[in-house]
Amino acid sequence: MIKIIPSEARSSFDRGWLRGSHSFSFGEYQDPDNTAFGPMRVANDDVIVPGRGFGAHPHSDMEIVSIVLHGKLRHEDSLGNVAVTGFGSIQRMSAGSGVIHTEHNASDAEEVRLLQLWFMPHTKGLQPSYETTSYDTTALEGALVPVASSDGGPRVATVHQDMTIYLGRLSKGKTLDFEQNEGRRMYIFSIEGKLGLQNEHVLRTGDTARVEQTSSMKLEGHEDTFYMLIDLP
Amino acid sequence: MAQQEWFMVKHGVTGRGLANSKTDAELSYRFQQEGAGYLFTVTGLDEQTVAKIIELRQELNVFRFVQRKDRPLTKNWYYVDGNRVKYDSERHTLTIYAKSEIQYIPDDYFAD
Repeated sequence: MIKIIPSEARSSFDRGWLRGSHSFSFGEYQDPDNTAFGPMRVANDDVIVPGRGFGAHPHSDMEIVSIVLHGKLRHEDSLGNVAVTGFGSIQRMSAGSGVIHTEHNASDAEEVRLLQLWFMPHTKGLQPSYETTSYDTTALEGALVPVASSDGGPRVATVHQDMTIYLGRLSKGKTLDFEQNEGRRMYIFSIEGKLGLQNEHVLRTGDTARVEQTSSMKLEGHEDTFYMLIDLP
Repeated sequence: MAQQEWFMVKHGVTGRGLANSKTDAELSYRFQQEGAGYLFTVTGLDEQTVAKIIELRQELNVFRFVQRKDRPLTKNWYYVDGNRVKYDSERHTLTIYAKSEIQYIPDDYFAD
């Protein structure tokens, strides 16, 4: 079963310092029928203007992965971490039993665009932790590059949930088959470009597919495309 | 700046405000240490608010904000044990048990 959610069906907003789109209930957007997809709770596509950001606030029992698409994001938290990440880097914060943090645009000239993804952890009350990793941006073409997973790795952030976040690029006309175990879910998001699914659907920029009961997926570049695929329980 | 203290409950995922003693004149709360944790005893909430808090009890953000004279705002955030968020309908009293607390001063962090 493939449910396509067009970009314009997301909840878009513009607060001046922050604009973007929420794929799940968040902030002023409240839809009781759209609060989760498996353990996935939040998928915010945010753009923060130069020098601004989210002030100090808490989180608990949530795996928070931030993927910077362009610009620079500054993170600071109560664990003592300060980090600035750009395209090619991943931030993973396991909020566990509680952490305070801020996220700001580190630049005074350029906007920062990031995907902010939240997942419920497999266990509550974990020790809070934070890491940054960087993936090989030159390896994305024609591949699905894991950038965060439960196993982690030298260039893969470790999330405390049975899942993997992949990024990939497909040139126009190129295809890729993705397989997952029975009973799992796929969350596919077109960051940029048109991505074909199963020769039946096309995701345009900003569109999402929430996939269940389908363990193999044929992906096709309908034009040069940059996309994210998340393998979820 | 005048001294004041207030109590707030929000949904930890969506950020939705659920209770705020600063804006709800009928809301009263008592805060005390309870064993290794903290106990809030809250009265004056309407039934709809109580129902929502109970529904979202596993994902609550509970705060105590303290503004002392000529001092920066201090925020106290509490890690709530969702299994110990209970409502006594006879006494119209909500109790929230928190396992731990983090105190922070927003001014100490990077700001706009």
